[in-house]
Amino acid sequence: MAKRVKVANIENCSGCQICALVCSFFTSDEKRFSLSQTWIKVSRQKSENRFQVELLPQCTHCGLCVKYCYYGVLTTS
Amino acid sequence: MELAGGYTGQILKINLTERTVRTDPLPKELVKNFLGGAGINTALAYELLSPGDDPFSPENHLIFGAGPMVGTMVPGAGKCNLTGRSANKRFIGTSGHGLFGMLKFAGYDHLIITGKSDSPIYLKIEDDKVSFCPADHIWGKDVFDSTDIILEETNDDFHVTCIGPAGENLVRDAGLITNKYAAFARTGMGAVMGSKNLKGIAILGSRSLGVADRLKFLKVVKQLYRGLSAHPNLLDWRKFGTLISLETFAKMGVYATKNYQSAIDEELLNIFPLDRFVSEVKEGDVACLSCPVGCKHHLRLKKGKFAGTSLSVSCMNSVIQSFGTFCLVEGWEEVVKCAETAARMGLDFMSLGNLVSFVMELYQRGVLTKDQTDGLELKWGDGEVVRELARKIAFREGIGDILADGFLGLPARLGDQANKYAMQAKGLGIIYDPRVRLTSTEIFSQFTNVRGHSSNVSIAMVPRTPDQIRRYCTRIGLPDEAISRIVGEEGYNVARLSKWTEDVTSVMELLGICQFPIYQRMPFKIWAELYTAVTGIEVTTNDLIKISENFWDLKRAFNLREGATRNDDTCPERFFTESISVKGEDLPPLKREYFSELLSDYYDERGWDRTTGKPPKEKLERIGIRL
Repeated sequence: MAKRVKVANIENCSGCQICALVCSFFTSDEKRFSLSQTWIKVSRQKSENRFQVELLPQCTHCGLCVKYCYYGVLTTS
Repeated sequence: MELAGGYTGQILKINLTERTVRTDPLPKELVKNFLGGAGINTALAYELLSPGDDPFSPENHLIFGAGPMVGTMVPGAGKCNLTGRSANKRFIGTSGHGLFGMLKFAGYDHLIITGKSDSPIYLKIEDDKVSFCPADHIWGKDVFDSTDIILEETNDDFHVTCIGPAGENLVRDAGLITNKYAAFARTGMGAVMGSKNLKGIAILGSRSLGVADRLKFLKVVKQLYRGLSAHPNLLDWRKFGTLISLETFAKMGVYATKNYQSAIDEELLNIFPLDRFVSEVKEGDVACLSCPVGCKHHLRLKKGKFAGTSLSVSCMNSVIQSFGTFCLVEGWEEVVKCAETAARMGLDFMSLGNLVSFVMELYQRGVLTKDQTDGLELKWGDGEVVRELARKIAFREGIGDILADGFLGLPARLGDQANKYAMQAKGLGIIYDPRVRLTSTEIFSQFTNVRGHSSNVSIAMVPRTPDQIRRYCTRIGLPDEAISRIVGEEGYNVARLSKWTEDVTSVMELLGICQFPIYQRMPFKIWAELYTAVTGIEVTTNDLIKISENFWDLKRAFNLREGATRNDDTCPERFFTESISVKGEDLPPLKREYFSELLSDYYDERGWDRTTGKPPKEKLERIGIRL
């Protein structure tokens, strides 16, 4: 069964956006960093610096965001 | 010189008077001499600001900059700076935090704002689209409410930096606060922004950023991430943030109380128990852009009269110091509530704590009476008084109006007797007591640093042996003759060492890397390798140090052009005349001759004139500066 990336511990998210940066870099043909051309989206919850993480449908489940998330928010199953 | 990665190569220029927007290329000469971030900001300030202008004149500029690493996945690469003429004095003003990297994704390395809007506005920047949005309905509102309104009018993906009532009312210690917690705090840039009728900036970028040599870049970045994984203090840094040093600093006695009349030791840990902070005050970790450490905090008070209070805080050490040690306010809930009030008002925590501590001493000594304080009893330890003073300062009400002009405005308002107790350098409050540890580069640099405030925490913040200092000097690549000037058998020269710790931390600042110790401990040569991999520009560690020297020469030149003299690099009188008791031991006042000798040594190590602190003409001309 192919591995899938999952948001496991959202309460640990610090909003650093490394997952988004890593995703944009490794999945783009041009290997560029972006916060918009990425298949994982980190958003602030209304009014507070608490965060939501959403895997977009284009996510290839390569697992690199999991590797570089030092907060244990993401996991691979 | 090709900019093959890291830089966007563009500067966005906005004139608020004329409501014009222009994009100019980033001059390569500035990249070569000053690298980026605060370095290029300062070069632009030197060129754009006319000597002698008032900080609140429309001709003052707000210059934002994000270094070449910002926007990449390099760990800690979020550091951005804001530079202009300080509101405290006409000297260079600069402040930084890790949350304005959206500037790079909007397509700019720097953003320059000048002029003055004829009515309150905020700027909405979305890539190359800049809108001047009315802000009459937000003017007068606090930072948190203003941020919410701006986000409602834009969308939640924007990053918002704005001022509170303090900035609007030209309070000299007002800051800008980004996303409700990351502050461009010191040197009063919030007041400069307020003087322009500019409430805030909402920014969102959809552009992307490349690197020159992907394979080399990934090799170095992986090394950095591996280094962080193996770092024994990573999780403690995250859990406690800057409180990680609370116990060490308290044991040293560097936390001053009651406006430097006394000091507090380990007792501080009973007043602010760290286990309670983690279990009952802190709700979660918050990080700057691209930081795997995450030393900021989201706090939520669950019990007591402030239950329900919720906010994020960058530096908890500054909360403890500003309100806890300086003013003797006790307990987490009380100081967190003080921080919330200060943040909402858009005030720099440290400056507020310094000022309140100062007036509390004046009240204690009878220099100020209840008649002059709007009936407030300025008692040590009264959190309610601290919060009320914060509000009064921000709105310039009564006693607050006097304090709103900062330490340098006080003699005119309160007379010379009051000035005697003003614990400041270049208008900024002192944060650590030099009588306790003048051998710390951070503490010494409070008096030599061009903006006031200290340079960054570095190796000597805790006591070090000569051998440790020698190893540090070797690690950053100092030649033997420099090492022999700095370190002897018995000890080291803090003034000479300060020059080098400043240069090392400034390299990181110019690159856009956080300068906290956990990043400073990475092998220094890695930053040169990384810069070359990202930008395609070949540099050595020695080149980076030279650029850092250029940056310090330039800042010094800016201040000299404004009339700075050796007398500006000095200690408050109390440190020369009063002893202080730390853990039962009486520490004597500083010796004037010794301090003066250290100051000369610092100038000398920087290659400046030993007496005047003036950089040599030819050195400045090499980097395009004429005094």
